[in-house]
Amino acid sequence: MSLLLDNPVQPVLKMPAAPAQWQRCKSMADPAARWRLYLHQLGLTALMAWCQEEFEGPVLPWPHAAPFDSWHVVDGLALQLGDTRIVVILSESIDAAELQVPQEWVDLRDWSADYYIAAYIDVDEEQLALWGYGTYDQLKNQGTYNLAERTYSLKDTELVQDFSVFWVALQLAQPSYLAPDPLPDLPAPQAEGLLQRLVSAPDPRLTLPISQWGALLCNDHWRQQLYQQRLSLSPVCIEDWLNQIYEQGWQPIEELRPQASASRFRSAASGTAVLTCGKKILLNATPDELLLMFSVDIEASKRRNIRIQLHPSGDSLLPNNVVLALELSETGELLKTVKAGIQDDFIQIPPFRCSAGQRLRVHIQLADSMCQEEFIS
Amino acid sequence: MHPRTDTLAMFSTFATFAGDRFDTWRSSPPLARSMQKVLLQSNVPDKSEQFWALYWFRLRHDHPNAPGHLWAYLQEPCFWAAENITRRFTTVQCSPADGFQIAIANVNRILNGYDPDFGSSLKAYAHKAFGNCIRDQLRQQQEINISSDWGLLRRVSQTQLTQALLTAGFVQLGAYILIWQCFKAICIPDLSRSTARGLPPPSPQQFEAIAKRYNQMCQGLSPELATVDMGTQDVDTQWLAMELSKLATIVRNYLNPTVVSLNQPQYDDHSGEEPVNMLASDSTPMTELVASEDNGQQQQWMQQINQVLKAAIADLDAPSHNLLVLYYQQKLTQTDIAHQLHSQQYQVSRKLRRIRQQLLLKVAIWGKETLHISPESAILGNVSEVIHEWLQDHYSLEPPEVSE
Repeated sequence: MSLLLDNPVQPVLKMPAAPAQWQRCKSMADPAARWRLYLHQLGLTALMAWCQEEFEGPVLPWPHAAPFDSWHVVDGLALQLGDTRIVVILSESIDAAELQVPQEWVDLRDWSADYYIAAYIDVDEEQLALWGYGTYDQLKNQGTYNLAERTYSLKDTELVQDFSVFWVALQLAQPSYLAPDPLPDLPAPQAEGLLQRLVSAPDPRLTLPISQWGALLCNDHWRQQLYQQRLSLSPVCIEDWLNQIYEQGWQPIEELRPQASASRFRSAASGTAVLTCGKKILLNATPDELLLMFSVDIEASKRRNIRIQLHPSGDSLLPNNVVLALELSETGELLKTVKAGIQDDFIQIPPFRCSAGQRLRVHIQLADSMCQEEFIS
Repeated sequence: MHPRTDTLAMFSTFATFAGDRFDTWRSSPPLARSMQKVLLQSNVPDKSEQFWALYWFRLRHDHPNAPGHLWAYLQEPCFWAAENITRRFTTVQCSPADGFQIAIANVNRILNGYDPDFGSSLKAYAHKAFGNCIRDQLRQQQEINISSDWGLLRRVSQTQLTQALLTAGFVQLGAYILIWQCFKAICIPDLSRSTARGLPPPSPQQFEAIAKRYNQMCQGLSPELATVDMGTQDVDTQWLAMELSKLATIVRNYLNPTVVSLNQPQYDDHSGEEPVNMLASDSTPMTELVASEDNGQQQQWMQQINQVLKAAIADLDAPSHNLLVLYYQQKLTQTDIAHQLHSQQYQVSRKLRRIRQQLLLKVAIWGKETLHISPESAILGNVSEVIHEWLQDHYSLEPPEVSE
């Protein structure tokens, strides 16, 4: 008796498909994470528009503008409406019978919210329906805790299924609750060790005890690390490119860039490459995407001649001090590193030869934010 | 259907159907005796149906016959809700009698959701809640009809899956739930190839990935989380593909509508056996007192709200007033209203919600200032229901403009 789709107090928001974002999510090897990232991006766009229309104060996504680093492991979309935090849980379940909130949004001090909203999304109909909400107190005190899933849930009948109430409550009520205790910081070596366990875990969210998992998640640096490392989990294979199989965000240069800039890149690569592929990279520290480019010449006896370049996305310059590095995956041995200056419009690892099947890692870093790409030559 | 007017009948008779139509009220002898008894014993002068509804509502966990009486009482709102909704909803085949069957199964949920404090009468609340049950069920049915088996399997809730398995006779569910979770983790829609609801069967590579994940997860389970013995052997892909296909079929069969035979007793009224315990401890003056007080408070509350809302409505601008007339008096759908006003359905929806928000804000501020009612979500939710019902009543009392 929950979701009606024609009830004025249960808003139905438009949520248009976004093929470009879908393409971008393909860089995530884990399918469930890829889908979650996509849904949360669609949801964020729809919800931001709705909140800005309904709420007079500032509306901001939390913890930052594009929280891929939390979405890929935890369900839930947090928005800050003035002093009030809401967490919207997106669900595709046909029955829309309960609100199931990951424990992280309730028991971690930094993450806990004032209101939790149940949203039903239908990507085929391109719509998002808000059908009920509950408060922190309700979830903590009336909610059912599921140990196996680490979630708190409220049944439809326990939720307020009326969003005229939500906005009035936001104006009048002062939600009061005892914030959970903060978790102790993890020492760096321990965090590094835990991170290594999570990188290849089938379900990183449920792998560690909540206290350790929570401490990693609350720390911006470790959370970002986990995202980057899971992102580069499965290496890109140059052999696949030769067979025209492109995955995880990699595309042939012709598809990736409009003619003008493609030719610019060609000239930079001296136009000899048999194969040129690129991928858009987003570092937290820069507003714009960067473009990582590989040009590969296939030589006799399966040897490759590889050139790796980093370009800005538009016609601008590269951010000052951004570092492009190449290392051996197995040992982590640093092979080559280049750093952009103030005036560089691209940087490159000088062309190098290697045999097919070599496992290598490209490393891009600017200040604290970094990104890795594993590949097999 | 002819409404019941006699209090005794209201709390002891059930609707029966002939084909798709209402047939007659059938009396339950034990409930009739029980009701007769409290009617005779009662010391309270006010014997309105609202009073008895609250009386049995207060006793619903403590008196063996209370659920039966409430069940009987709620037959009428259930019938009218079914009648109303099924006539309007045309995309899925559903007769009023089917609608009644769907809705009446939710009596317990509805009783659990009802809160008399600052809320409306049980009958009005139930009417709306029954309607919502039917509409929600029809929405789901529509979705189920147009989904592929695999699209359906990906979008059932764990609760539904569990129910489906139990209904199919499975006892050890842990392994199946895990298989299903692994399937969901691997098989996501590829939007460039299919819709989400039209999800194709897993590819051989996906079956392999699911099997691999299943084996990994089994190893990772800590002993206290492994509720069933999943075996220590790795499962092979072929076995997994078979089990998963079985799951998809089980879910499809469970969710496809089944024909419920009408006129089966909808409530087990224990005919023949007279519960001994209820004969002794029947006198409950305390409950009567509480129910009477509840009823008095509710009526007073409604009168006060009536004043506030009348004033608030008078302050509305002409377009808002017009919109309320179209929605609450002429009972047009939001889409029809949008047509008439040359606007969009979502704009109509938003405007209606804003008006209700405005009215709710006025009542909430009044309640806070004069009665010191705390403006917390749960209470505001009850008040908002009352406003919705008040608008329905208010506008149905006014004669339509055209006839004036």
